[in-house]
Amino acid sequence: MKDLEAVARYLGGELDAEAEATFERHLFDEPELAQAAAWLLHVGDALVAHAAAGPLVPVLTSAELDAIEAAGTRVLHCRSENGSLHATIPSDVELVIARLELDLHDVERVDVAFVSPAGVAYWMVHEAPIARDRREVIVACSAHVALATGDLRIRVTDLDGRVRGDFLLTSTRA
Amino acid sequence: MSSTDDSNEAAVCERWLPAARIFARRRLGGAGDDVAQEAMLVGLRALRAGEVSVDEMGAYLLGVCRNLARAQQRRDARRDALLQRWVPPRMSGAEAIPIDRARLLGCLSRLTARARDVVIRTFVNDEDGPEIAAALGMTNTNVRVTRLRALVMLHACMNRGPDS
Repeated sequence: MKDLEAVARYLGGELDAEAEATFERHLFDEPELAQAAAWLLHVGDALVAHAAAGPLVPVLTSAELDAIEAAGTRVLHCRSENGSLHATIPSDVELVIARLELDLHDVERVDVAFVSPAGVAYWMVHEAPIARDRREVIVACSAHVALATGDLRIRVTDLDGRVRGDFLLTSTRA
Repeated sequence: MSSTDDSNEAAVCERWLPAARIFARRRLGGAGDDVAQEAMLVGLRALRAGEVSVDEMGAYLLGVCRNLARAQQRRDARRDALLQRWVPPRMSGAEAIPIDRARLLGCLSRLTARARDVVIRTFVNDEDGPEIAAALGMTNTNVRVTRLRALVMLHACMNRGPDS
């Protein structure tokens, strides 16, 4: 696994000239290094492509949300009320922003899980950010996923595992 | 050309194309992929002509990559000078990559916040170690350790899936 780090350092331009020349000789000599390079290229390219299309992680800071809106992405905001949110999504909306209001004054970060009707967490964001000034967790979901899913349960727990909020986001087409 | 030649050439591509790509990417950025392909063509032609053996191919391709990258850098410099003079800046489209998007993003979400930040800064923002260290208040060594652990976790998660 050191190969991955070696390739990452090389790609990042962190090696001096001598180390770079040595690395390049190894790169063309050792199949393991070339395989690590191939994997890293795929992951790096995919992250760049996905970042251009939308958020990489579905829980946002206030600054990330501001940046998304400033970039012209068409978003629909919905706020939680007694654990429920409803999004009526017009056809031109790209991103549904679920604003989960919570009292999280005593924690720095939370885990956010997307939970199936059977109670199974099928997507988890570890150590997700809190929009502290607004005392909320901001969840982004692409409009087509929200519509395809219909009902989406979102569970917020602190890093000690205590459930701090349980929300149901329902989505329908406008 | 015989089927043995075909399988030899396929093996050469499988073995050295990633090395050529990472080399060219380092030197030329995203445009390096074309140079890597060109280097492989030069290598295969040399193999067919009997000018180089498979055993010699690694060193041969490294030399070809170096020459092509230098030539491309000279062409880029000339083109950039012309573009700056005559053409306004352009945006390039995102490349389609055959990788499981849901799995990658699911695995990324499972990293710690700091590890995620280091990965995104490295690959999306194109920041080097010292830049990341300064931005996150870490030492260079900590950035390297965090990045290595994150890559190992991402690699393992991508292979087995984020749900397991």
